[in-house]
Amino acid sequence: MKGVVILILIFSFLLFSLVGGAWGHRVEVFPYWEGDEVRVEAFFSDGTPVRNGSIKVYDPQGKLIFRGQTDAEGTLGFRPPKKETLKIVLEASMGHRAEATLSPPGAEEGAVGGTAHDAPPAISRGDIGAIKRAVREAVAEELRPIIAELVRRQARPSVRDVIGGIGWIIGLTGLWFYFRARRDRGG
Amino acid sequence: MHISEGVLSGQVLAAGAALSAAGVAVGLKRTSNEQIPEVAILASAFFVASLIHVPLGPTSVHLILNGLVGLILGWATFPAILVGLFLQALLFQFGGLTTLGVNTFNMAFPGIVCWWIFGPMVRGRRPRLALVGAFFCGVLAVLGAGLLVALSLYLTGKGFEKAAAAVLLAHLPVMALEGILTAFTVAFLRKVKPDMLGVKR
Repeated sequence: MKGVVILILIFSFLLFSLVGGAWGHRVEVFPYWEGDEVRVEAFFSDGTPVRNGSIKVYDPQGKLIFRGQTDAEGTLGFRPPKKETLKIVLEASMGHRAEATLSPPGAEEGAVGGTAHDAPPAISRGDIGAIKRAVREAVAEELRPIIAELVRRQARPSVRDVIGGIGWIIGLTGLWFYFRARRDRGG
Repeated sequence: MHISEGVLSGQVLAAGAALSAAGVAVGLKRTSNEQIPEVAILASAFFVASLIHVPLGPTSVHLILNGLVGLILGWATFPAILVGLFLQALLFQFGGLTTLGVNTFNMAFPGIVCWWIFGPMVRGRRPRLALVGAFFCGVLAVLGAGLLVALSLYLTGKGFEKAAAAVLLAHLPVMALEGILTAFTVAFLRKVKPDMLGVKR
């Protein structure tokens, strides 16, 4: 009984140390366009940058078009030959791997022409297109840190996940006992 | 120590799964009814330990506790670690479901080997010697897991030396920490609940 109490204490200690925000292990790769360049950020789920992670970039046909290593901040920049949908694969040491798909900037450019009808006649279609592009670029730039934060949060397990996992273990234990009881009674 | 999806070749994945399945089968068979709650508690500890980040060394690493789990559970280490890894893959996306077998073997097997080697010392009459045994059990279980990870990568065609060097260098602080942690836990259990270690009174 004493042992159980102490184990519970150890557990609550572990749980509290988790709330302090020390998270383990998984890598995440976050690519984005910056003008004609692609920038890639690579980090572990606790936010530590992945240094010297190998980055490979594939074009839509699956052809390798770029390979490189992340720097000390876990970032890397390169200029792809064409603006197209790229697949970016990160391999860090110890068998960690993550991949992400990056669509070309302004992938929904086609929509610009369609909505131009409603514009007052004083502004030409071309202008509207240019304005929309500029706005889109500005918005994308403003949203970038928010999206990066979202990616980070997604990579980080929540306390709810931890407690849920322990619940699963308790459930599986019950199941194990159930089968043991059936076996023991049967035999 | 969690190898992600899409890194290893099919053969390595299959071999890992087969070895782990055998280990789990032995573990399930050898676990007595009285031991089941211990398996559950250590599976939980293992599951949570991967979230305890060790902020030392060149990259991001975490506690593994496979030495401690091995020391207390013996063969039941396999089912405990399988369940822990399964939930980590499911809930945290650490590792992956296809690599579950390989990862289970890589962590459980060194734990069991250390239990074979150091178990008698830890259960023995001399408390000092038990502490030393527990320390090395914690250290070498992590070392063994690192070597197996490097071996898995090597069998898939990555350079063994480079992979091994990276894994071992990153895990030096973890090894030290786990050694100390395992020693403390053993000292504590010998006082409070020696039958958990199988100490004869």
